[in-house]
Amino acid sequence: MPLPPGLTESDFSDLLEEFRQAVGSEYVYSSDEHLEGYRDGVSPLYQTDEEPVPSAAVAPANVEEVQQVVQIANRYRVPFWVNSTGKNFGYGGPAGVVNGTVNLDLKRMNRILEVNEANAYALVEPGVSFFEMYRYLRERNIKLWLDVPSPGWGSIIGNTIEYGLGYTDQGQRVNFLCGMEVVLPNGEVMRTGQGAIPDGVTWQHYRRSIGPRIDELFCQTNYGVVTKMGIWLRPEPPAYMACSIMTDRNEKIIPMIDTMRPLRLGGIINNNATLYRYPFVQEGEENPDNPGGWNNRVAFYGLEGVVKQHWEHVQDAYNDAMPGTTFASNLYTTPYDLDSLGRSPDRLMAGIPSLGASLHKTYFSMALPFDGQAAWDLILLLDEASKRHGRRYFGMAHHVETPHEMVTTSSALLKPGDDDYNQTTMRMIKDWIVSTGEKGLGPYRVSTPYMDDAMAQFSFNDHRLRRFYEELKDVIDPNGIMAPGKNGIWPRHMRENRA
Amino acid sequence: MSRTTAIASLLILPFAYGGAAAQDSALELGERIYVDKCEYCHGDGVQKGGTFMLEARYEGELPALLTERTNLTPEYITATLRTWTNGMAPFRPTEISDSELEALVAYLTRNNE
Ligand SMILES: Cc1cc2nc3c(=O)[nH]c(=O)nc-3n(C[C@H](O)[C@H](O)[C@H](O)COP(=O)(O)OP(=O)(O)OC[C@H]3O[C@@H](n4cnc5c(N)ncnc54)[C@H](O)[C@@H]3O)c2cc1C
Ligand code: HEC
Repeated sequence: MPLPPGLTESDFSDLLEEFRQAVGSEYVYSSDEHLEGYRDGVSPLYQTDEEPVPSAAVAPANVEEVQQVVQIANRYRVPFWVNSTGKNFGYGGPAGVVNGTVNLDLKRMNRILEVNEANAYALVEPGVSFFEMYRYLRERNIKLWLDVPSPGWGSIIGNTIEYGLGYTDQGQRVNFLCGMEVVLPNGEVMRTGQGAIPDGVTWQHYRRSIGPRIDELFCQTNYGVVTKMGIWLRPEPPAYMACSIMTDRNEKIIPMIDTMRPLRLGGIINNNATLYRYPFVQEGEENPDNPGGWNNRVAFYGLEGVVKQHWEHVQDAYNDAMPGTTFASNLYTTPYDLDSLGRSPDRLMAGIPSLGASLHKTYFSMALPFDGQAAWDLILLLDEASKRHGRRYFGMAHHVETPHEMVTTSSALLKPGDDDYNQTTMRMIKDWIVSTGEKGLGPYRVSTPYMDDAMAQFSFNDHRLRRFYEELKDVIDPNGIMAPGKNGIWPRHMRENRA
Repeated sequence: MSRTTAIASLLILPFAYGGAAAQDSALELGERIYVDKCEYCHGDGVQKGGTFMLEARYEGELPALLTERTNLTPEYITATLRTWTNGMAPFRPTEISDSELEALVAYLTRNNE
């Protein structure tokens, strides 16, 4: 594996020795066998000359050890990348942007520090996965539900601070984040919001201090290592209904979204409603003449009568706007037998974690207005761009996170070991980013190989926003060691690395 | 394994590693890790990606459930868990330590001829 940038062999071995003294020798990894799991094997760059390969990994057990590791990294000017559970597949996996980065692995910090059932919140460490939290709640019969992304092995902290998406009425989960503890890149610990008061009692209740709320400075950035986070949960509803609204033609996405908009804005539909291709056909295997339609998945939570009434109303609205629409629904009421919920969408919209298998994808996801024509225009635009690379695009997934916008998650397939195919995939995604940027549309989240391309789209007034991010970076992280290149934010001494 | 043997092997383990009791407890540990970290994908039933893929790969020639296999070798299991071969994401040593991996191997090879 490579050396960290600028270090000699002997500096590196001194560095590892200091890490060992800080966290214990069994938690410093530098063998090829141990480091393979810190590489992104589903990156289009995997095993190419461009792949950013880690030099070592360090796994602290607590916040004091995180501080020591960060202080050591400062002394050696060594870049480090942070993982909570390291399952960020599709968006870069556990690997960083710069070759030779040290991986700071927080999986050992996996304590659920508090669950407050009455006030419906939890305080967790970074290593706590959705599976672990779910199990904790169920084993103790705590009647709180959790919002989860589709792979349940990810971290509540890692996923939430990446602006990860769930499927319940807390699906834009970052809006339910309340209070953080952060190790700053100089090694100091800070608590945000009411946590800044020693023994602050409202840390997980009230989201601000006085002055601005800064938790999102640590979301999708490289300004600090989050070591604790509060997350609001929701009480188990008396009834839950998981519903599907299905249409058979691709272009019917336009009326489908426009029909949903007033329902979502008006509070009839409250969850992170999704639109998926229906029937599902693997990318690349669609029939271009009839690629199929859409399944709009919505859920209702509340009193049984109200839930049923909302669903009736929603069906009426779609029947009026789009005759021929088909519907399906499953109603669940207390006492729930949650583990018996078989169908995956029903599980997801109830916040029950599970895990699929398809990792060989690379993602580029965008923000869109909540508007049918905008969604359709994007499909046509990405299809045009894809054709330039010999591929097709018929739309993928749309998530109505809030009543005002939706994000699309678009992925392209990768074939393990097929370099030509994967290079084409990568060129195509970069083309998607530029083509949509030219239409005034920007990414919500991208994988590590495209982070510079994505940030470059936000170019108003000579990239003033990026320059602002980097001005902050230079102040908060003067040695420029934390996650250089994350989302196109580079420290001063590495800006020439920008792609 | 009965509760008493479980307790006994826990007590004996530090002093007599490699004995029959240690072997039992390695199997037990292996099974626990398997249930905890593998069954999401390799369990029996709906939504189990690993089982689904292995069923598609072997088409009944080999069991889709890893717990029913008798031909997995320690080297093959280790390679699957520590490298990007065989279509599965590797586990980092913070998720499965080297000694836990040994226990998993013991568990998954327990029925080998
Ligand atoms: C098939 C498939 C389906 C997916 N479905 C979804 C989905 O439904 N919703 C969704 O949101 N995502 C989805 N993803 C994307 C991804 O797998 C998840 O978001 C996953 O939860 C991210 O991994 P993680 O939670 O282990 O985070 P990590 O890998 O631990 O962290 C992700 C990133 O966040 C930063 N970070 C992590 N921890 C810290 C910390 N403590 N301090 C500072 N920075 C930190 C780092 O930059 C890190 O690279 C999907 C991916 C695939 C392949
Ligand atoms: C995220 C889902 C997932 C998890 C979790 C998972 N696996 Fe797998 N595993 C797979 C998939 C998918 C395959 C098949 C890949 C293929 O066929 O391409 C596989 C294949 C394997 C194989 C190879 C079988 C063969 O015949 O080639 C072994 C061995 C294995 N897994 C062991 C484990 C063990 C042990 C664990 C737990 C520590 C585990 N897996 C956890 C998804 C998973």
